[in-house]
Amino acid sequence: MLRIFKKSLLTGVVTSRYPAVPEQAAVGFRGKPELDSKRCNACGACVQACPSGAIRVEEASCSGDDRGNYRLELSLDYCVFCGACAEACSPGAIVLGREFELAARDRADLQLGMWINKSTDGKDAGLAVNKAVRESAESQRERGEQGEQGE
Amino acid sequence: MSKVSKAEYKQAETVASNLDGAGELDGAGMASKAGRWERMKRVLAKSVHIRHVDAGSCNGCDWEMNHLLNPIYDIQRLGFDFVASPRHADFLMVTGGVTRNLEAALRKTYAATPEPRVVVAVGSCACSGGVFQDSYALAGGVDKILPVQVYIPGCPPRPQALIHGLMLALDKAGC
Repeated sequence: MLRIFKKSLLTGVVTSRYPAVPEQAAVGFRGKPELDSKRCNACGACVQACPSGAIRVEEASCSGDDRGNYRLELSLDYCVFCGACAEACSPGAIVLGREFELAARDRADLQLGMWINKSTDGKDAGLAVNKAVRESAESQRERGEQGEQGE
Repeated sequence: MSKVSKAEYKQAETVASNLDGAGELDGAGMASKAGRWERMKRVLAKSVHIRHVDAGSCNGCDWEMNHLLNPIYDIQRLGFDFVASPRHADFLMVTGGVTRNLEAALRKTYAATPEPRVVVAVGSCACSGGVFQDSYALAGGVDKILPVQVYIPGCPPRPQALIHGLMLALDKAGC
């Protein structure tokens, strides 16, 4: 019995003092995804990779000031924090962070969003890539339509 | 029959609404959300009893909730405790997007929990259905069945995240 007392005295207190003392998760912890609008090229790889469909990438509008802007929306209430989006993202715009204090009273507070803005002189490397992809997709569609009309 | 003045009638109504506190009577601000929160904080300032309901989860969230009672996270030092009956509970922590098999039991549990009560949705399945959102067997999140006060996302949320969510429910969190 004295051995038990000795052991407990040597071990001390292991109780964490959270929430009085803030705590950070370990490196590699799968926390909230961090979005970087500078690197994103709106390719939609994350949308394909997400197992629960938590990510949506939409073109903002077809006309007006928003034209060419994309909006990426990530719903934390659907997210399973697997990191497939971070793995699929080639420019590294989505990175799984370590934040875990995500509770909210309202589901609307669990929606993350990011604007991917175009720049008129094409300096934004991300969207320049996307522009090329978009143009090739459009030309392919036109060729397909012409082919159908021919038949 | 004696005539009751309007002032007396209003006073009696206020007393009655304070007594049964159903939240439906409109008097003394009991029906408003702020009024309910105030009353809850007064009543629950000392301790909170939590009933856990597993509405068809994979048990990942259940294990994390289990870890809340171990010496490392120890929610009992914060005044929380788990109880075995919803009739003794203040909080309902629901895990799992509600499956067909457990929907009736969840409704009965909610009905058995006396007011004031707080429903906490734990994990991505409880918040929205998660990866199983389109399944025929799932209701698609607890808020399709019950009114939810706090959502704790995660798959599973770590115990500190659960503590943060519980503190948020009591308005004691930093945010």
